[in-house]
Amino acid sequence: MTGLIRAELRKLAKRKLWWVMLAILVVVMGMAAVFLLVVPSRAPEAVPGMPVIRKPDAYILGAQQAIGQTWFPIVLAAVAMGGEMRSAAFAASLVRDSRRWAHLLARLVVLAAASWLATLVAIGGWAIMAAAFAPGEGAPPSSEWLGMVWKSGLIVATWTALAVAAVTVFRSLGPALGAALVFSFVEGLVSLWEVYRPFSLSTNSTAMLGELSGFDAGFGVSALGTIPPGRATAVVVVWAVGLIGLAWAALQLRDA
Amino acid sequence: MSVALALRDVHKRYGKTRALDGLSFEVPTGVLLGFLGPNGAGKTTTFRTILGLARPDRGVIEVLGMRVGPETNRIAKRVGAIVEEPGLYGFLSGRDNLVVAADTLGFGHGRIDGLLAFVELTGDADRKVAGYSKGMRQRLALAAALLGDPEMLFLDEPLDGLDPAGQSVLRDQLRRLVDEEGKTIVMSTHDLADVSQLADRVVVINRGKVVTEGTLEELTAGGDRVRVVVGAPDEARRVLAAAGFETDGAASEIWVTGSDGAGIVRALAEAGLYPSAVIPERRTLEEVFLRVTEESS
Repeated sequence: MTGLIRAELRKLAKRKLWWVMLAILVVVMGMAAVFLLVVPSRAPEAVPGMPVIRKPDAYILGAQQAIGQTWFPIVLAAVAMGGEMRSAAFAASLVRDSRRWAHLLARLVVLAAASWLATLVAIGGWAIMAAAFAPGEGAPPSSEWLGMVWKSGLIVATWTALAVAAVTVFRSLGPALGAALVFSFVEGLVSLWEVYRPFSLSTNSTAMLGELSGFDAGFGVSALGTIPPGRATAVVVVWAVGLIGLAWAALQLRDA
Repeated sequence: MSVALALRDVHKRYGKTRALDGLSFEVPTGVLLGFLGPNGAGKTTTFRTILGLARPDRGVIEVLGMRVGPETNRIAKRVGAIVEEPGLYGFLSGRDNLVVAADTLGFGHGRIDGLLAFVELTGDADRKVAGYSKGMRQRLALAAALLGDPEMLFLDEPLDGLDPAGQSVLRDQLRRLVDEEGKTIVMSTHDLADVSQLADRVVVINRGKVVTEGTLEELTAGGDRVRVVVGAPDEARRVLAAAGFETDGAASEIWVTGSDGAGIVRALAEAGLYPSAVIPERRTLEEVFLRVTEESS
């Protein structure tokens, strides 16, 4: 397993993919920080009605924004794995029964860790912006910061598993990437439906971090308070396990 | 001689297409087997099935005495393969490709430098593979297949698309692996000249089953004939027929079945006919291939 992880790390480290995506993530998060943190507090007349997010909620909002960038783990995992599909490496390592779990998990671990690291960079960058521009005092306690770290890891791993599952099902980069991105968007919309909301991956991902006072992070609906963080975490874990199982089944049931 | 590979009554369907239809053959240890067949004959499916990349619907495959399926994990450690597009990463250097392959397959890095030298890529080892020629990629893929010092290699059209120089280098390397290291190689190819030059044994398949197999000698035996070039072909045909020879051919060229060149010359000379050429020839592998594949289609 160590060798497999080393191989995946080497493949990822030798590509520009992660760095390019990190640069895009920084730009996206920077724009969001300016719009949500800087403008409401420094130039409220430019965004009338926009609530001013105060500390310590401003920090939590950053974590929510960062984990909301689901395109990052999806694109990273789909492109990294999808590029191998036409080569014998994919077939030899994943489709063959032997060591399939090890190969699958090595890819998941490395790709999720890479996306997690980028998410932590985004959370850290946002925290600096929040410290500088958000009004109010205080910061989340260290236990809450630690919670943000591991929770963002779980959430990013789940979206990574979605992309990996899509790649193994479609065996083609374009359709896999498209399906995973469309799913992430549509799933967010469908989560507005009350019956589905308790099971929604995107809603529960946000709920894991807790609700902000007086601010709706998504689609103008604030129903997160109805989902306790513990239950939300359990739902996300079920999603992660289900998606990994789907990836395994897609490999098991279909030849190279 | 022990058996390195045995397939017994292997069947594989893709939808309505019968890719393998009771395929059975054996490969002795320490030989280079030319695995031939027309397009769609089932060569790549055979390789994928042997390597555990596709599951047979029925039948038994044994590699180095181990059953494919329950023992695929152990087999994978003792065989190397290039099937279809080699698993190389263009964004990595040649050396990094081998490092990644070694880590992925669970082999050490100790053989990497030696293998780069063997495939004559030491000087290009730190260049990105995206800039390699097809021949260099094939040689690197061969090095990757050899990382675990396998006893057996499966190579799917390894010489396809290479220039003559690249083909020559790779042919020499494959032959050395068999002659000097005692490895068993199963090589599929469309090029009958490659097989004629390289292979110890040949298996020809069509429509998912074996249509003929044996050594080159065995396959081309029984087709000996003599080409006779003579000024009066019609009269020569009559003379040879009267002398008990079976003839064929058109215009000034006469084909005489058998290998009795001296008897042909004697019969013609006694009739006052003096041939300008009497050339003994054997049946070619190409003729054998075309005949058996046409018969089985």
